[in-house]
Amino acid sequence: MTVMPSINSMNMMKEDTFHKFQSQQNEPVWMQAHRQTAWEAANELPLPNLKDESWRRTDIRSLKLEEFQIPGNYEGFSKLVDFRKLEKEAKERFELGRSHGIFLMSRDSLPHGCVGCEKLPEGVVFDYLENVYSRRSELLQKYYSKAVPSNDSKFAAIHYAYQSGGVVVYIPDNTQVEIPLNFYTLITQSGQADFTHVLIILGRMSEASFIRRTGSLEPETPGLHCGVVEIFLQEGAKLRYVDIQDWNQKTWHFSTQRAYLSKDSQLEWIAVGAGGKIAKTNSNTHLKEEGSRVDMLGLICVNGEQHLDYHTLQDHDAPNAASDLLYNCVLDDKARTVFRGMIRVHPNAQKTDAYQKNNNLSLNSDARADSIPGLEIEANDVRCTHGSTTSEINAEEVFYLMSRGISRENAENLIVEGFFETVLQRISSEPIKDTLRTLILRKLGLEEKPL
Amino acid sequence: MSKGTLEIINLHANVEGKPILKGVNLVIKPGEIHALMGPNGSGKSTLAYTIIGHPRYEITQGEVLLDGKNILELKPNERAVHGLFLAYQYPVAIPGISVANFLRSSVSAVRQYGKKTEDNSGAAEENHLIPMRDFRKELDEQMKMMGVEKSFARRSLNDGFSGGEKKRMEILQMSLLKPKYAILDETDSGLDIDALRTVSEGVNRLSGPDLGVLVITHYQRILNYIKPQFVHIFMDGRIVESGGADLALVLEDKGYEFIRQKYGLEINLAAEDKIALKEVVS
Ligand SMILES: Nc1ncnc2c1ncn2[C@@H]1O[C@H](COP(=O)(O)OP(=O)(O)OP(=O)(O)O)[C@@H](O)[C@H]1O
Ligand SMILES: [Mg+2]
Repeated sequence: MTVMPSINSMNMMKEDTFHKFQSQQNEPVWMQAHRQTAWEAANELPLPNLKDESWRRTDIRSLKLEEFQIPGNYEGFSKLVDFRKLEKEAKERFELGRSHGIFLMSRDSLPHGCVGCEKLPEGVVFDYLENVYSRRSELLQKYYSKAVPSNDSKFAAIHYAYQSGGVVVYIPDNTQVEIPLNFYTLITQSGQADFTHVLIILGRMSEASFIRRTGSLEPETPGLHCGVVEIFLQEGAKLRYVDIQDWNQKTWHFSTQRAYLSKDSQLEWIAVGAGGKIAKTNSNTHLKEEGSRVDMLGLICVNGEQHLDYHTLQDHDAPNAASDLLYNCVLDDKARTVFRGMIRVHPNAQKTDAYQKNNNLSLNSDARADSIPGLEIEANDVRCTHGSTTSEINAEEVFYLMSRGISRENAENLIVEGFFETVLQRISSEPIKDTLRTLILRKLGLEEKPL
Repeated sequence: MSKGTLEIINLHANVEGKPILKGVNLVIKPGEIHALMGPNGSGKSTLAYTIIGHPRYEITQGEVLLDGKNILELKPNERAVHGLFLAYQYPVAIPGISVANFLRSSVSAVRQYGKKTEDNSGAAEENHLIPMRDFRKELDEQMKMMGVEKSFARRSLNDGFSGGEKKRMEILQMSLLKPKYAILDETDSGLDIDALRTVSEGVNRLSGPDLGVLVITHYQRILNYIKPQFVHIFMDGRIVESGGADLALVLEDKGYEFIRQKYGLEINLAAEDKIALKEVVS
């Protein structure tokens, strides 16, 4: 597995590397042009630094982009890798057996295969971007990079230059897809960069559940993710979007995520943060039309020296829309989290109902959680509240449980589980709740411990 | 004398350096019901917490023996396993932990499910917990008897419960844990008339030759249901008078003043306490 195709030994920020990569893609002209523009932006835009207000708390000076490999064409790859083994490991890792649904897997930013895609209803698209370039060209051109443009940031630009192995979900009007759509991304190679793109479009009155999950095959191999997520909900559409960031703790994660909501559409957006070395996730929701509603739920669990930075935006640009955010973080060891949330209410957005809450539970005095909630309100008839708490495990709660026979360790574990449970309780799907609970218990190291 | 008893011997305890318990002596035998009455702030809850093992209370003197064994060295959970139970005056609410999940953990720990199955091959996680089926059945039964609606099993522990609901929940816990010694700290306060009966009946169902009970209360009312053989009057960190059930009636009638008067003169108080007491009396 150590022999790399030649392209990967090249510096990803070098002109040659990009052109070679580009020449290997089999894609329409508009996409080629888009890549070219993105590449130019990637070169022009500086890497963010601590002087930028939104990067003040996240130091990425040790990031060396040139040390990461771009996705290659992997000539001879199959000779190097035992696909069976890979598949099996991925299945175990992602618990394909437990959850049900249709699965699309991408490894090292390369399309890998679909399980169950034949079961999809007529007209639904759930496929790799590269597979639909020609088939749904008009759809892609209409939406691709429209929520997050390529000049949005250095990381977005790099993403669009090398974007590959990503997914498109399109649900036609009046179509309900009950079976969850799963998209898994696995980094299998040391020093691999991942540029998977997620584009979701729900037609009028349609419904779907989409679970995006990431992971690394090995626990100690460095990785890099530069990703973009774009979500468009048309009138009355309902989407449950679960984003599980579960890379190993050697992986850099930069993700720009934006959702646009039309009239009466609903988004349940669940963000799980378990993995990553240094991660920066920007999740913005734009409530563009009346009656739209978003619930943003965050379950973040960090330890070791992890540093996860979340910026969220609830952007109310229409009257009578609602947004409700709850992000709970548990921190152990020397881990750090940053939560910077903003509720923005435009002058036209009367009768907005917006709520934002970030709770942090620290299990170690060396851990640190920064919470910076914010409000920008330009309308006068609104209901907006925000708040944050940072605390340690409550000694009175521990004592109460201990006095009922439960050991200190188990009492503390119950309290931590309970802290996440308050978020899980708000998830409307039982199987998803169970999957996330299992994942979190594992991260907390509790799965095998008796109560 | 020590076998099968809970003995509190000359117990002194401080909170934040301030002496609250000042030499408590009390012996409770299985099958006995004792009532403890005393003015606000006299230290009744402190006594209960100290027996149960709250870390806030620093024991400066004395001991608490359970079946002859000093339990003051034990952790609160170990005391629970030994059969001690406190129904709290102010039960703690814990968001996110469901009543059912909490009780299953608690019941399994107190009954030592882990220990019993440790010899079994491959003692898996499930072995440390009472099987879900058995537990649900038992819980359903007890909830029904305590008049607690089924839906409570899924709610977060005491979170948003009314005062009375919390008290019921305490006795529900007691009925599942089946302790040897139970202290009920003002379990009657905040209960409506019907709830008082249900809760008292719950306690009475559990009482018998194997259970010792200490009922801390301000009112005679609960003692009409849970009938004590002994009533103790607690003042200023110690028991100042003990008697039969009729003592509670005397108290109800006369208040604490007559005790104050009596002991302001008679008992051997520390000098400054004596002055303080005399001021109260005069
Ligand atoms: N954590 C604490 N810090 C300071 N003082 C305390 C603390 N806990 C208890 N005390 C004090 O100890 C004394 C005894 O309190 P305790 O709660 O035991 O009284 P009580 O007899 O149970 O009263 P009540 O009938 O009102 O329940 C009171 O003066 C109280 O203020
Ligand atoms: Mg009290």
